[in-house]
Amino acid sequence: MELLKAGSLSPVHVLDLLLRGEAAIPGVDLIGQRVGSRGVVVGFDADTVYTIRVGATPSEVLLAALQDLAWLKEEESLVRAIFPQTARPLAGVILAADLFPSGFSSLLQEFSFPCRFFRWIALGDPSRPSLVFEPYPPPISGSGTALERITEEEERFFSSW
Amino acid sequence: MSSENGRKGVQLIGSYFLSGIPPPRIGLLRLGPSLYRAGTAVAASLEREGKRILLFSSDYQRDGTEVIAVRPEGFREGPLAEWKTCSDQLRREERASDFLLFLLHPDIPSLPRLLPLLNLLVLLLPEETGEAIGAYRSAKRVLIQRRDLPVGLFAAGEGEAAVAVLERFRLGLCVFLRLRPLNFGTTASTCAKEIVGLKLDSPAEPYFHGTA
Repeated sequence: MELLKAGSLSPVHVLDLLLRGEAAIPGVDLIGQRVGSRGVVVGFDADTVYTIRVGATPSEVLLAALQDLAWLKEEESLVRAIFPQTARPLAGVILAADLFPSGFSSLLQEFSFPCRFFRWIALGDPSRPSLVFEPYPPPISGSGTALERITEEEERFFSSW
Repeated sequence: MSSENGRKGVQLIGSYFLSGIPPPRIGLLRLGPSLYRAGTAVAASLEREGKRILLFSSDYQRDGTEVIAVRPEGFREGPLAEWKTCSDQLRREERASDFLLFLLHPDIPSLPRLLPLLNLLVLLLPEETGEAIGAYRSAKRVLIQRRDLPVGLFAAGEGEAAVAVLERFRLGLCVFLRLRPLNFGTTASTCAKEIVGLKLDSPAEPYFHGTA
């Protein structure tokens, strides 16, 4: 399967695939239809309900995502009535992009609202693309994982009674 | 107005106007499937110790239009979300609190963002010995990210099994992770007394920035 060049798949197409359940954002459940007159795409995790925007870069879609969020908050009771599974604060935005500017990860802690980022990668061909979403910045692997691993000694200590 | 209510009222007004220092933030990390009640019991006991408690939980179900619910035990509870820009009410609630409690579990996405902001982490341990290894696995994943954070251990349930789990964790964290966890016992009231007795650092900045 070939990697498609960035920008060869339109954000509208990416959202459409998400809504049709032909792509998934890890750890995020999606409501499979657009919500309200603005046609907002909504997803949620264990803590928060998010509006979802897709674009080439985060800055391209950030403002629109915030406007979606403001609109959703105004319509909060309506959204909850229609989608009871969103019984969480309508408080965040998810931005999916295929390109992040260098050094962008250092800005993440400055966001004062819940915000999750994903990088999307398109594989296959433009007519039948396969999408992969991965968290941005990518999780640190290697030493962290090794540190987290449980040793046999620890396993024995906490399992034997 | 009863004298109890009057005392509470004076305390609330006093803390609102006098305290410019943000309250310490305590994470209550649920290391088992049914420890929500243990977390709220600790919050209730802290309230009984005369502390104003604001508890944030991912299990919180918003009822009506109020962001914060006042529970029968006296503490206030709200949703676990980082609404730093959303509400002056939350900022006022924070100023009127002696402690912010975050009822967490190890897999919530907001944990990496919250962990650096905590002043104390209390591990809510399961009372079943069979759940200890799973609890330790989750605890280790979290603790290696904040080795500097004071850690307390509280085992839910007052039976022998809970005491055994607590002792196993005390020893295990010392030996394997080189930590010195504090013993907060197996009852919510003991846990609350231990927390009140600590001299916790206060955060430099409030958690809620408000909009003003």
